[in-house]
Amino acid sequence: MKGKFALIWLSLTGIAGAILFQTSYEVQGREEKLASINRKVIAEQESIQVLKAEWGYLNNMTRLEAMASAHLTLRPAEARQFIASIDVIPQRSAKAPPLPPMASLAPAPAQPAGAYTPAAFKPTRLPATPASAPATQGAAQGGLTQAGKVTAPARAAQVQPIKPQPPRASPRMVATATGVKAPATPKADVLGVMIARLGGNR
Amino acid sequence: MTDAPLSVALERSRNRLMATAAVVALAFTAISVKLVSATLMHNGAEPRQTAAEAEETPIDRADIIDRNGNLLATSLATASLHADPKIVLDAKDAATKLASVLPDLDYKELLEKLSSDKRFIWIKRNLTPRQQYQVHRLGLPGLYFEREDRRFYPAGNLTSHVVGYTGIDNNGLAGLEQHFDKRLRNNPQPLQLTLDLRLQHILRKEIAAAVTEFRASGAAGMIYDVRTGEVLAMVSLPDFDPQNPTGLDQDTLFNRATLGVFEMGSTFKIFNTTMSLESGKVRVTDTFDAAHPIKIGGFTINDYHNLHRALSVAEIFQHSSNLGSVHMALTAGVPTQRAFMQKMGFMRPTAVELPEKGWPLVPNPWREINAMTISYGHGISVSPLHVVAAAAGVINGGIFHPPTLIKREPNAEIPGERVVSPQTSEIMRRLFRLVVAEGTAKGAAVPGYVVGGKTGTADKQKGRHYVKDARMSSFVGVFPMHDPKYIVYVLVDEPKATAKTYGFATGGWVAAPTAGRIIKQVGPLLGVQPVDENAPDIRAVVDINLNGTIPARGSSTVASVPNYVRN
Repeated sequence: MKGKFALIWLSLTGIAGAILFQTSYEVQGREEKLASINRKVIAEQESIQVLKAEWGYLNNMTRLEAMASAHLTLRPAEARQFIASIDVIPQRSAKAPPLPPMASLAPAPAQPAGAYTPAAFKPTRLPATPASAPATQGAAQGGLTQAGKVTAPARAAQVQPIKPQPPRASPRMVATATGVKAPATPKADVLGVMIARLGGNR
Repeated sequence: MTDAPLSVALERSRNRLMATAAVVALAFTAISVKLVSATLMHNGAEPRQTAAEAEETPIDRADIIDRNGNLLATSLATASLHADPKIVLDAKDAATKLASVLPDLDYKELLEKLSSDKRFIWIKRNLTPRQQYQVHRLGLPGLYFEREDRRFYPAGNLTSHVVGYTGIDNNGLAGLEQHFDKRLRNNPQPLQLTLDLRLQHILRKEIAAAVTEFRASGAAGMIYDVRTGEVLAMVSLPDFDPQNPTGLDQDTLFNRATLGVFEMGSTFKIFNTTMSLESGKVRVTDTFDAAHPIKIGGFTINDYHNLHRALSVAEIFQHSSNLGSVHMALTAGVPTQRAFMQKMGFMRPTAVELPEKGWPLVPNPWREINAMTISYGHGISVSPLHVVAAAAGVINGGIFHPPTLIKREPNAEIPGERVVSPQTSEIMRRLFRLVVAEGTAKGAAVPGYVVGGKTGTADKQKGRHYVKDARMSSFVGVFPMHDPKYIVYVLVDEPKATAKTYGFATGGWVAAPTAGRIIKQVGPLLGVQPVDENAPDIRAVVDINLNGTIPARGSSTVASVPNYVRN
């Protein structure tokens, strides 16, 4: 009787010891894992910080401007280019094709003649000018004022020639793009994203 | 007989055993209770080594970002190399090897350091990861790395005077880094400024172009939101690379926009005219003599170009007449002038969050002669930011907002104080427009943005005398004038005339065209809708006749006058 009792106690102690042993090992292992994850988190945070700094450095305005003037034919916008307010531009339909990447050098998709231009360039929205003023107006506005006087069907045809040409169509641009060093398209896209970010997040 | 002592002894020893067992049992019970309580009841009371590690953030100084979230200053973890010369085996060998991978270190100096008796020497702070790898590969004993943060400024020179810089131990030594040193250390949230990096770039580019063109000794520029008091861009030239601010002269580190106090010259006529109109003793249609030079105390006050006739208040502002301004100030009265200048903040440093703030130099006592010279901007020295903040208060409807560089919460209340009546503010808007449309600052005109402003040219004082060929040319430009939103301020220090400006180096020839070029580029970025300047509804709110009357709606009677005046 006494021997049985002792045996039961002994085996219970043994089991408890084994469980404890295993648990403590598991805890040790998990703590090591936690420490390594923490180290990784810190390393990731540091590399995020480095990438942020690099992003800021690559977006340095002075550098971007130099690159834009070397690779693009874009120039700073001027007041006379903002001839219509944003309300005049019609809403896109929901199924409109996605915009091409901003700085992509691929030619713009062929538009149906005068599809968007008439509304945006509607001459009646131009600021009313006294009779003496047209001489001081820019050439583009003068042209538009004339276009406004013709009848509606003819207007599209009239407007078409003064529509700004896509950058690709300029022979000078082609020469620079091929003559210097043709920028790879994905790189140009990265630049486009940067510009979009710089301009679009305000 | 023999049993008795034995049984007594047995009894005694049993009692002792019982007592010992009880004590031992008590002790074990206590230990068990404590064990259960420590492991089961108070879960995890044991200190955890990993928890401490997780709390340690990688950065110990917060970022500084611009109003759009672009990074202006950040901290990066780098390794710094130090050594224990006692453990270094062969100082000569170690110095040779180190000098080969870190070429900017001097071999002799290194050898001297490594063979010294100290237990700790810095070899090089803030190694690049590549350098760290190379030093690691040398496998020299006694060399150790320490992780250190290094301040990095991705925008480079663009914001050097505003953001400032830090020392080698990451303590702020200038600019916002110094002013917000505690905040940057204690709060990991990025510090957001009112600056806009894009505007900052345009401003710096154009001002640097003006410095080159006119071979100026320096320049300052600001773009300022008149409705909130936010500084959108602030540049002072010459500037520096905040990453390496050592070995620079005082002129380069000097922030001309906030620390420099200068006699502003004719831009002060903004405040003289406002003060006179506010006093109620001068109306905009009044005329004052501008033909006869004023002699006082051995000085003669004259106009740069004397028109030899009486001028209306509008003409005095348009032609920047010193004589007319003096008469206006004297009509309003000396105490009125002093009180007004105090109200506009010209008696104390500005509220901007920079340690580099100049104390204005104001006359004490404020005599009549001082009042006379102050009317055209001499005899009082203030910083460019003083002028911009006060001009914003004049033009925005009459509320003075303290200038700030720190972006407010979206719905936060904007502190402001009424300093000018709305009526006076409206007249001043028309006068500003007159100067650009028909006056000294035609070069600042930008089609579509209805620019207004006031030029200023002040002779610089060197020692006790004014120097004729050293001047400060400045321009306070406001746009759009029919609904003032932004001030563009340009100040060029000691410009030299060029052939292109026909030998002039005045505010109208130097600063105004620069401001015009800046407005042309920042207008679209700031979302200002261009308008037709000749539209009747625009002209109705910005035009003023030369005799000071407001033109009737629709009429166009602004006469054209020859433009050859200075200031």
